[in-house]
Amino acid sequence: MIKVRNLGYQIGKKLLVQDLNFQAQQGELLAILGANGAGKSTLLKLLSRDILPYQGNIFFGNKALEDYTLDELARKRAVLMQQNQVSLGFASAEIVMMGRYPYFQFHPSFRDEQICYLAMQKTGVAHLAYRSYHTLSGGEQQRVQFARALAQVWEHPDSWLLLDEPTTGLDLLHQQEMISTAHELSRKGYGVIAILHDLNLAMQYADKVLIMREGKLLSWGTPAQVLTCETIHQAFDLPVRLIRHPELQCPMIVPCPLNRNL
Amino acid sequence: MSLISFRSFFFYLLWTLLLFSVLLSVCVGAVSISFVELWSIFLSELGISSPFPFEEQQVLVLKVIRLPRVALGVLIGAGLAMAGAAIQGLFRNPLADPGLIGISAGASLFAVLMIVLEIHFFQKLKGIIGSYALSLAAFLGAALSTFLVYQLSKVSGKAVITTMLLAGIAINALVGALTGLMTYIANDEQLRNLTFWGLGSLGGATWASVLVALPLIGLSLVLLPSTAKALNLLALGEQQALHLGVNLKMLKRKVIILATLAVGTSVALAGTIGFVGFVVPHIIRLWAGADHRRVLIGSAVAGAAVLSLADAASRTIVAPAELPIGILTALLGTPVFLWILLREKQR
Repeated sequence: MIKVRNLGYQIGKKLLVQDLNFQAQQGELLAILGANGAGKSTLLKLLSRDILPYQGNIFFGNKALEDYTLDELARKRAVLMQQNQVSLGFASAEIVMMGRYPYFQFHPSFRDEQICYLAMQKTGVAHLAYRSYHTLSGGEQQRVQFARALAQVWEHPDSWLLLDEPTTGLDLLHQQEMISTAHELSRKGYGVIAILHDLNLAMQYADKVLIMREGKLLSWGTPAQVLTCETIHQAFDLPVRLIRHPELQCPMIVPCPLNRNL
Repeated sequence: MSLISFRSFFFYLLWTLLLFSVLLSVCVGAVSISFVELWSIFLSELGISSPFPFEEQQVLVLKVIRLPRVALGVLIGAGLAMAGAAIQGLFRNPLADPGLIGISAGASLFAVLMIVLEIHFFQKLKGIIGSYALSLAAFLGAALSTFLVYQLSKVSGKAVITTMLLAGIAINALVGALTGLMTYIANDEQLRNLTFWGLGSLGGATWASVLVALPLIGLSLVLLPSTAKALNLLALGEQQALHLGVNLKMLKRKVIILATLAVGTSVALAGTIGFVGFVVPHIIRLWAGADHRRVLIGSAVAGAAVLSLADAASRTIVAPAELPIGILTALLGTPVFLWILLREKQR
């Protein structure tokens, strides 16, 4: 369980995140939503321990986040960031193998190789294994990086996946595949925390939703509780309607047309 | 996968190349020794008589001049190339070079200061540790300028790589100006010595200098490969490397200290030899991929081979005189550098 208590972070006088209180469970997919600049990425960075020090507390299990060594943390959670540029000409399979680095000294074991292959199959990039990462399209690169993150936590169903806008740059099919993979992992026991922009993906797949506005927590709960017309309007300054999904139980969110002339 | 077998084949090729260049470098020069003669000298040293005759003078040249020179060339070539590969990995930029962050400039500045100013303390030091004194000074210069660049590059407690490159350029300019000043006030004899630092040469190699190089460069050669995995992760980005358990502060320190050790010692013993640390890792990456576990070791082997060959060439091109090896590596290295630059641009 990740417990966040009175979490705050500021640069100079600007409060990027303040008074956050929530918790995330293993076996759940938590979606973080909010407008641009609401503090979502800062929150994810705080949870990945990219930013130290901060105000308040973050507990990973019973231990404070800052009490973990980098090695321990590397085996406890994987992070998929938004920007993933690789500076040297590595092959895709080599990038995915980097997810296994916390588990071996110099040479990967046969199991490590297997895990890499399975992870690449899972994200549909096994056929790109020997291609140079540079030559892949943005979406393919994103899926290779996702495979790397999966390889990092492959045999540890009690660990965490932190995803910063994982579906950015993916086509429609792969957006669905990525988020359903994340969902499937949460069913296996992983804790998944993902920043999402697509409210409908959150509605459909998330167990819990956290909406941020101006660095503060606006609402936190199940999608049905949180994703209401009023809250969404408040968070995004945009009126929306909920309509019935033709096939699924959950409703669909559609924005109302903007009428600037009125 | 055929790719993997090709890569292990490539490593056999590299080792063979090294062996060949070492043998060649031992044999050519003002007094040439044929392979057969070399073999009989080797046998007679072991107490086995050989049917092939050789001259006593050849044995002397081999033992006193050739072998220490080749040994030093191998150490320096390996050290420069591996340090270059590691620095490129650390800066996440295949165009980085130990020279860029002021390592070589700092080393030659201190050497030049020692030669020209003939500082009292230095003379005393020379009395105590002899030929080690100049090496020590050059190494201190390398360490000092690197430390300065590293400190300058710190923004809010973190060493930022781009700032570090810029700080390196600034320090290089300053050190260059000071070296220029020293050249200006130097007398004729000192000028000759200074030229040596600028152009680089293995001509001064003795067993004593090999004994200086062996522990210092050796340490760096042994320890740098242990940073290979972390350097690979760094290619993903600093944050991503952190998420995979890399202690960035430690990694930066370790690579910079070890690279300074190798490059500083090299400059101290043989002057500035450019382009080996830059071009060799590039060629290795081209053939063996980007993985630092291969690139670091491959660069060391290839660097040793390249410098041995360059040294052999420097002894034969204008024989019986010698061409400074730095000129040769620059002459060969610049076209390769430009070729790499254009290739990067085309991507």
